[in-house]
Amino acid sequence: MPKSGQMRPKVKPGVWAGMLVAASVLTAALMATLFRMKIIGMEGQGYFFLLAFVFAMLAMVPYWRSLDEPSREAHKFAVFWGLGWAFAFVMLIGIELMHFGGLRDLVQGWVEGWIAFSKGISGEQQGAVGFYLGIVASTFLMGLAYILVWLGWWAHQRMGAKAD
Amino acid sequence: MKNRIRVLRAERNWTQADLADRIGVSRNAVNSIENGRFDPSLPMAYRFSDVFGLSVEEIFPKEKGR
Repeated sequence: MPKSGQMRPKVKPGVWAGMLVAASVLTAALMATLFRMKIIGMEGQGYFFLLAFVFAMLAMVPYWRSLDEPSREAHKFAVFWGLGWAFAFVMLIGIELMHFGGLRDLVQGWVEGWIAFSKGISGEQQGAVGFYLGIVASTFLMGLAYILVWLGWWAHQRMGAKAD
Repeated sequence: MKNRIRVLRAERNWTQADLADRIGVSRNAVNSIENGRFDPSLPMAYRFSDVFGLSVEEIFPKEKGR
């Protein structure tokens, strides 16, 4: 049990470091495998995003360690109720897109409109662009839900609370 | 969860920020716990116990029926 200072997480720093190194190595190995299998290309942007991902992961550690219990609880709550529900909603939309023509046509119209707007995309890239837009839209929705629930948690904490 | 933090803090003339510094958490955290909106973990309850020099049960009295 900690004797002074910030409340410490249960995972020891050495274990954290080991987990980070393992996560980075596994990510790199996965990316290299996908690259060798020609599933992804690793030209310039690929390396940049891989590095950005690893550094973002590393940056999360000191941030998480600096949080106290209620702040961590807010994030956990937002992951479960915000991100979780938004993910389920996105999955539902995905199923709808696969099985129902009306919604599929609507979304396809948006994607085609975006492709027409951004000139220089060749025909063979259009499928990838649609997939990419789907990921961006899903991430945006989940991020928005996360932030809203996180803010709601703090708003609830402050409702009727008396300060000094 | 019921607690006596506000009273104990007032007896010592500590602000929420003073107590937060001693416990090692944010002022918001103290505010949430003090107002019964957030139940602290056992390690944090022991931190309150150390800081106030009282037992955990004296700070967080057991409620009837629990």
